[in-house]
Amino acid sequence: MDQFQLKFIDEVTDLINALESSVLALENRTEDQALINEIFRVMHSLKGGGAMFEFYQISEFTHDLENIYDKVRLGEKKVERSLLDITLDSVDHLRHLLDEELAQSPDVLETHKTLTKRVVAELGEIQNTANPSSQDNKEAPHGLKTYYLLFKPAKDIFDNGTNPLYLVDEVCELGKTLTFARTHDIPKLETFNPLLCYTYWEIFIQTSLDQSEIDDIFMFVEDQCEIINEEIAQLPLLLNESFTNKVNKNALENSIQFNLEQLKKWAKEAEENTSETEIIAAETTLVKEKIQKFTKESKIASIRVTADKIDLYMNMVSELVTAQASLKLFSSKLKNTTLLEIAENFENITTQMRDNALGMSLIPIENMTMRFRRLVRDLSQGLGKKISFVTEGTDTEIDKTLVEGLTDPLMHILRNSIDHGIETVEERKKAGKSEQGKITLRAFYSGSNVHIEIEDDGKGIDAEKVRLKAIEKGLISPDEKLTDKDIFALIFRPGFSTAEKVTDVSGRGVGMDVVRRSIADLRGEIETESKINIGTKITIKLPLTLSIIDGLLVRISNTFYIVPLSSIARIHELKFSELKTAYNNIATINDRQIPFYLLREELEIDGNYPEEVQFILVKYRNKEIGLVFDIIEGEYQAVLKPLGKLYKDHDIISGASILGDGTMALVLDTNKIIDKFSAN
Amino acid sequence: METILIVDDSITILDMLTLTLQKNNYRVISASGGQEGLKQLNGQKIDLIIADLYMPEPNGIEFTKIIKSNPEYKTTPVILLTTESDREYKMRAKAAGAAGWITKPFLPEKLINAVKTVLK
Repeated sequence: MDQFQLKFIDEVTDLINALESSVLALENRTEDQALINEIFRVMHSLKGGGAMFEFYQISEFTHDLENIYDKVRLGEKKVERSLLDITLDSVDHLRHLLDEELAQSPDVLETHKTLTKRVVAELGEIQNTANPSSQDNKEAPHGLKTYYLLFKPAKDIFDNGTNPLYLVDEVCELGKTLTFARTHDIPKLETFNPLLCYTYWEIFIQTSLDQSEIDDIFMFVEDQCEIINEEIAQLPLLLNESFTNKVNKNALENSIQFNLEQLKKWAKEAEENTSETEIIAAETTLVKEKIQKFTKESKIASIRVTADKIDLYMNMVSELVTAQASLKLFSSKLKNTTLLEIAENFENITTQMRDNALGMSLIPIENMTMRFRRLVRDLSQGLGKKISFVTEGTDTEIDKTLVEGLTDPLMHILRNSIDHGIETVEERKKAGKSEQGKITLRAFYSGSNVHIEIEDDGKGIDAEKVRLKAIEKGLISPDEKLTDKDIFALIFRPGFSTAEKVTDVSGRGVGMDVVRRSIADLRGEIETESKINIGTKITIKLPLTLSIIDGLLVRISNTFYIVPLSSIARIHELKFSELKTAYNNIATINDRQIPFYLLREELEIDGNYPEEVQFILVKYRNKEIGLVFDIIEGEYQAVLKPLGKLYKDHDIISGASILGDGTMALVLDTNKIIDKFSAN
Repeated sequence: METILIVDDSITILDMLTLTLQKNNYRVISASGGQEGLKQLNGQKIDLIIADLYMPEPNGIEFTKIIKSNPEYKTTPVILLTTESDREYKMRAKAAGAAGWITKPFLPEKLINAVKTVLK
């Protein structure tokens, strides 16, 4: 189930609850137009959303119910006991349909059948009693008809990004089609302009849909295209061989558009010799196709696999990546072309397998943020605050198990931001801020870590207040010298709470220590930065210990380093003498001033840079710096291994990787380097 | 970067639209109802509006009429989201000045194709 489906379930659960209470209220106020409109609207949302997010049973089921309430809304039907009963039964049934497994259980399928019958019967009753002139025939089944469509896009249609093929595909979905792509306007290569569309299409469509449904497809392009949409027969002609033969033959022999009059003539001839059986055959195919489509949709799309199996698989894949790297290395040393070919092929497969394996257990942070958006919305309304919730980098993927463990702590932090961080509208006005507060959830990779930041523009945390409170609680002694960072860390100590008033939103002081523990359980760290009246930023850093990254393998003397490819903006080859004389470590490249870092000095590696050095420009949050290396070895897929406690303080190195020949390479955390550099 | 205002009472649909549009490099402003949508206009530069036909007051058609009577936004195209049985309303939407409609369910590509076409 994808994130939208999960979200939709949440939303629909609310909708169904609202529906239930509206129906119950309607029982006592059967004439209440507002209630009827509300019920109609809920049905409509269920139908539209159900179809959108692939809850077909819900969409199909609410379709008829919606029609009933449409009649009620228009005063064509009265609210009676029987209708209320059916609606309430439907409410229960809809709840069952939301559960993927339950929806397919025999009991529920049976209820679905009987309830659908009851609803249809109720609707049928309306249709019999209602004034026939008020009936629109939007649901009336039409027989199969055949249309001819000419779709000649303006030559410059590509200019505004329209893909005409997409429209053709859409037409083909309307029913059985016979399509001719006309390419005779394509000029000779010398005069051919690849930015122009020379092709046009002629399509015969056999469908039960209205002619206007075809027009709808071209709604947005109608003034840039020549479109002819003509009904040529009230019969399904595409199964009539004499007709299709004529059409095909004509299309092959003449490189010009069909003559509409001619087509109509053929259609007429075909109409005369089309037997009833042929029409029935066509209609049966249509039904069959529909059934096929339905069964295709209900086929099992996913299976459940235990996390252990995935873990084992992941481990094996990462070993495979290392083994592949050594194969590549040795095959290139041996210079045996056959072996090289095999190694290359092996590399391709391994890369795909690696990406696939990683993708299996990773899910985007997006999945969580849906829930958060809801939380912010509901809570802020409850507290009478105005808050916008912004997410950045939600396509950052993290391990599924991390998502599970992260949701609660993040919810807690968010609750805190909403309750204590963001001020009320009045307070914000007084402080000269905009009425609407803002909470940003930002996720990004930093080396082998994933960072998740929650930042608000609220009143911030008063470090002095926190310090006094900590003294009062006996957590620190009054004369202890602490930095702001240390003070904010006190918030995460057990039994600490600064809220003067206990509210039911962010709990009773049993919060932040639990948050810290949950994050620590995930081997993560949590940090707080805050400025009074400006806001608070809480950063959670989570490791991706067994992750594989695409990197660039570089070297200074005999030490190998890996720079994550994703952070590299450009690479320049420069003369070291130019850098050596550069003032203040700022190099001028292509008229741009770029600060750089001589890593050899920073990492205390003996020896000197060669005359030709590699200047790798890395980027992080709008900042760029150059890192200087001796030599670039090439691209490398690194299996990241953690470095262990001893290297904990070496924060510019995020991990290590073992190269094909057994040598170790250190993975550089370029984001940290940039931070460190810009701090100096 | 072009800005698109989306108005729909379903959070799920809003999220889906936001994500689809953002992935295609549009700036998105969202509102969960007609009233909120009108408030969001507020002098902002908006290149396109996508609104649900059936949202609480004002509904998509009334909403379109209001937009079209606002001198600042009357040239901003409006695309409505509908379901297949709203034919009659679709016609009224066109009459109210909507550039067109997209029928639910739709694929993201279809939405983007329509958006690109309308945004010329």
